[in-house]
Amino acid sequence: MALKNKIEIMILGIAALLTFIGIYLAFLYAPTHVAMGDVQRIFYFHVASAWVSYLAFGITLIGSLLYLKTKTMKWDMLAHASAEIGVVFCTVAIITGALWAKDVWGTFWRWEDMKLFMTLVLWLIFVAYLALRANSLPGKKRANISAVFGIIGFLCVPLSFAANRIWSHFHPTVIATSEGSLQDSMVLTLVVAVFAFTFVYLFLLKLKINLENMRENIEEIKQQIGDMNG
Amino acid sequence: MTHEILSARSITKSFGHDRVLRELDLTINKGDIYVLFGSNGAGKTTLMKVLSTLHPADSGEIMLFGMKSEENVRDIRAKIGFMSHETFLYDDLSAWENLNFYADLYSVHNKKKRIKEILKMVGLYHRSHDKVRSFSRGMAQRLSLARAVLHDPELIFLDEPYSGLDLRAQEVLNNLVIELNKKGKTFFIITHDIEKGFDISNRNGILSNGTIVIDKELDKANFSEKYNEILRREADERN
Amino acid sequence: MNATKAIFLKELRIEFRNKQTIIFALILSLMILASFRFAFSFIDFSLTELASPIIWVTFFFSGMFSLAPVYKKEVEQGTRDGLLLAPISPASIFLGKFLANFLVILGLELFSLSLFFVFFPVPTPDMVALLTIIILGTIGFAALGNLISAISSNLSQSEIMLPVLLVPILLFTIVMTSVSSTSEIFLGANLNEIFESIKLILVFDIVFLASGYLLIDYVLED
Repeated sequence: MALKNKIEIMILGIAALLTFIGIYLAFLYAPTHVAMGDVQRIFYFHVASAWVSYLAFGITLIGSLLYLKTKTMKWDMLAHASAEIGVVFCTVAIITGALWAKDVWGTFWRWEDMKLFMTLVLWLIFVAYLALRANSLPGKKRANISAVFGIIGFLCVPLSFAANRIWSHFHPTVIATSEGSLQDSMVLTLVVAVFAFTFVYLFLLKLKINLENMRENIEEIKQQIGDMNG
Repeated sequence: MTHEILSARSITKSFGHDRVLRELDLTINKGDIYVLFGSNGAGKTTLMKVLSTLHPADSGEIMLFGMKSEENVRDIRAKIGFMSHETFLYDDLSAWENLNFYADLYSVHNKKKRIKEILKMVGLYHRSHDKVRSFSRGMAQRLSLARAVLHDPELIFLDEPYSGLDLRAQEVLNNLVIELNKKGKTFFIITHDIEKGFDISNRNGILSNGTIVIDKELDKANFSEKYNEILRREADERN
Repeated sequence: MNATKAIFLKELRIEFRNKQTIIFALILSLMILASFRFAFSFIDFSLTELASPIIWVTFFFSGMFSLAPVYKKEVEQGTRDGLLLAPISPASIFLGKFLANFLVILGLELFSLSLFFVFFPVPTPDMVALLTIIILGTIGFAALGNLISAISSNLSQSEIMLPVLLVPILLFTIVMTSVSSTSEIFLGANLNEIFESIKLILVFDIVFLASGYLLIDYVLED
């Protein structure tokens, strides 16, 4: 228990430290982008949260597969916890992306941009995944069906990637992009931001799993009390 | 020589945190009419579903016909008949069509002859082509029994078979059970009603709090007394 | 195989005996098409360009309507355990139901399509290409729809959960590809010119059928 706590505190410490450094780097250290101006600074947080959401959904897939293979509830718990955090980061990524796009491209959304599209697909699928869990009772059955849905949802990613290529071929590109290359200091800032967000994710994941374990324990104790009275 | 058809060793089953079956042991031999009594909430239906391979047990071992229940599910299912308070019948299909459908699922040989024979046995041959929707509760229950024994199973589970039946239908049901038993079929019946189930049983027990508390007691008065005592105790616990 | 056939026949028999679902789905298709017709008689649009989305929106909604009860009805009627207790593989339940459902949805779609041509004066497209896309698209729709219908039959509020789970997966795969290629067909493309889309939809069909076939076991078991 003590060791576990130490690891947790370490993760929290690293996450906090990196976040502060990241904020400093993004707002003060990194130079203003030549073409896009100050709004480009949103990019560091945008990319970092998009990365974390992909990571989180990937962990959900792994959790779902391992659950179906082993039928151990802890994998189901991992899949669920990771999906919940992933949706939060994905929402952040979509909103920051839209704000950035409004300034740079003059529009909130571009359907023909593959990255935007795939992120939206993932977001919708995992919101549906959470809705599925919210609408069923805890237990093996819920673990089974959510694992199945998580797997199909993930299968859908490469499929919609292919579908979108045919679709965008049909829809003409409206606005041309101009991104400009990144300077070294910008790359450094981005790397720090990505690491900071990853550690925040790890910390939240640990927290969520601890919470679920505690809930399990409480139910267990309640049951024992019931047995003693009976 | 007794021949074990079903043996269950320390079966446990929980739904969420609710422990429904606790370390339950049970053996059923060929030719038994084993009647298990228990109040609502004692875990009767869950026990049925676990024993009949419908739900997996959390722990413990179930052997049916000498096979492990997780490993040979389909072979075991082919030898089991199951009649529950749900009839498993399609309202929009006729009696014949329902049996025909299940006969296909169980790959019954000589389908037409067998369906005709079984419909006559439960006294529904004259209603073969009526939709189940138009049947009374008792008729549906009889058809449900016909469905359960259609594929000539070795072991037949009956879950609360008497609920919703009038006296005459109960008698018909009991006679059918005895008749099939004479042909060597084994029955496992679960009910809460001592008056209806006790007389046909040749083995019986009481299920309370997820485990079998009394096994084999053939004196009815004695048995009723014990059963009522257990029901009273359970009622006290609940309050 | 025997079990698949038995379930397929049973599904169709019940569907056509208790005509409710089919009749309501037909009325729904009629209403959707009529609403579109009404809307586009006021606004001046090129009907040829809008034909494809109109057709697929109609297909999608009426199809979803007939998918909802596929597994839910077994639960409500109390026949689910009867099916599961039979010595058959869950995959044959899935296949039987999928085949029956595919035929029902395809029938609904052909009805909607003929209504569409009555309501909307568009130049006749290459019918072979159009029907190919519709049939292939419907295979994937029915396959995935059946699996999701099995999943949602376990949920509270299953009627609303079916579209919530189905739309994000279906919309960006089958529907998107079918709509774009149907549009091209209405603009004069023939079978060869939409070959890329056909291949892609075939891939979707195979993936959805295979995942249904392999995963239905986990969905149905307790």
